[in-house]
Amino acid sequence: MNTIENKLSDLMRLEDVLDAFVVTTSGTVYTVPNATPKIKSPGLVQLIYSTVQTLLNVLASFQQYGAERMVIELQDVIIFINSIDSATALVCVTPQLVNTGLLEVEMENARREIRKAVKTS
Amino acid sequence: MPDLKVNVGVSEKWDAREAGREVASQALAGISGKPSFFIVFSTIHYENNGGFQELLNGIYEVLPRDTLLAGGTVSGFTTQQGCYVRGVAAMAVSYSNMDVTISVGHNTIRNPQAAAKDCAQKIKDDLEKSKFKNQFLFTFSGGTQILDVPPVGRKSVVRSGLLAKTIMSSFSASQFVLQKGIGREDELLEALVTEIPDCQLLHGSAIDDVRMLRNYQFANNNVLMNAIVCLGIKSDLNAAVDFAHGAEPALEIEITKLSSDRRIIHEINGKPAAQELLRLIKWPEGFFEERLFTKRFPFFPLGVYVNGKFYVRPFVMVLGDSILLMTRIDEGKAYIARIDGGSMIKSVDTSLKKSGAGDQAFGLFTACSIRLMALGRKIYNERDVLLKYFKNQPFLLGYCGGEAVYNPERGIEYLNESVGYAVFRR
Repeated sequence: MNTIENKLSDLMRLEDVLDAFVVTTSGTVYTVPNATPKIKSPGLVQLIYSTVQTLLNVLASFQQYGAERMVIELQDVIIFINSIDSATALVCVTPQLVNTGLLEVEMENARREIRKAVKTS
Repeated sequence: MPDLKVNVGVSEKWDAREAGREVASQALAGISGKPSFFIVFSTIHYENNGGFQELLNGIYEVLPRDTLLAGGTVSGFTTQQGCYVRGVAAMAVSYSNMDVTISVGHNTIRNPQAAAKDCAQKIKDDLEKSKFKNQFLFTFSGGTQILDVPPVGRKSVVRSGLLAKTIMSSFSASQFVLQKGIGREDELLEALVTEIPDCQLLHGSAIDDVRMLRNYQFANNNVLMNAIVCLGIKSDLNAAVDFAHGAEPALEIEITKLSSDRRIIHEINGKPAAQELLRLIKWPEGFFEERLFTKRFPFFPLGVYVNGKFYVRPFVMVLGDSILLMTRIDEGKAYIARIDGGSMIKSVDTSLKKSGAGDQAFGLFTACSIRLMALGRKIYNERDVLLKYFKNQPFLLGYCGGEAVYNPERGIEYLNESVGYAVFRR
């Protein structure tokens, strides 16, 4: 799982990524150990982590139609749920006013690397 | 037949020196001795991870000390290996039938004509006695830097008339004193090709992560700001230089009032520009909200015809009732253009095929960062087009703050929201 941790760690080093983790339909969550929390509201963090598995199941149900990602826009943050395979997703939380085009490329590269790692594990 | 070797390396290492060493090692793989030249595109991240001098020091730990190097900061890059918005890429070219030199001009924002003249002189002197007839210039210069003015900050939409007027009136002073403002690359390149008309040229403007607050240029082991770096090449290689954008005229308008530097539109169809633009594209005032505007502005650029060719000139900033462009335009007929992700990508495919196919040796591209912003992760679709065209041949594309191409028949073509390229053939 070193690849997953390394990729999540790369994402967390970016100023525009508030949180990044990998979640599976079975409930496993991979995070960066000892990462400094960047989301100000603990309630929001709790809500994201407690609902993301449900959201992943919704995304997975569109798998046969090539589901790639789900985006939830809140007032101040955006939650990207990027499908890795039918059972795994990369979740990134960013502030609202970021250059999402550039960040998408960074998320896509992490997604591709994590997918390779998941396939070979 | 002389041996042409071209290699592209990529590093995503965070530490500048380590990244420099890695990218140089990769780019030099299979190249023995000193390459003819070395092009480097780096994202802004190394500014805070060791600095760009350390990046170049790392490169020159591996690269022979007197190798000519040109490049600078970009918002991202595409290579055979992938698409990146963090890291550094380098192209090493080694070829015996080639004379190469490098030249620098300073203070490009304050006095682009003088910078171009200084830069051109050394290129002319150094390549004068070359026995090769095909002259190609790769230029990389400081791009537009937007002032981060308190309390406005770095914004694309400033609707307050008073603040907008203050910002607009500060442009010329900040341009001269601070060398912050519009990059003036169109003036710079016009002056350069006046000095060196017999060449083909590909240009890129430096940028950061599209915040447009600062950018850097590289000339050999030197990190520069507000400079033009020009790699002058004479060889027996043929370069096909062209561009693509994918925009089409959709709605005819009349530009009726411009600022004196011709980069700010005050009136469209005889009415305040911002309001009239909203009416024309049938959007409510809420469209001029920072978040919506930055997401949508790439898809409704201004378009103008110059000498029968259609060019894109995106509306980059709303200032009260006026709209800022990055390039000078003329009053008169213009268009709101139509462009989308599909047409952006298809245009690259069409243009490359038109430039010839089958014997390309390598390619160098400078594309607008607005395209990267607009396409997001679908930028990989553009890379697929390049992979298909170049097959196993190397290419390097940098996402810049501006791009341009030139050949003597067509003149200088300063571009926005486009892809400029040079495809080299033996």
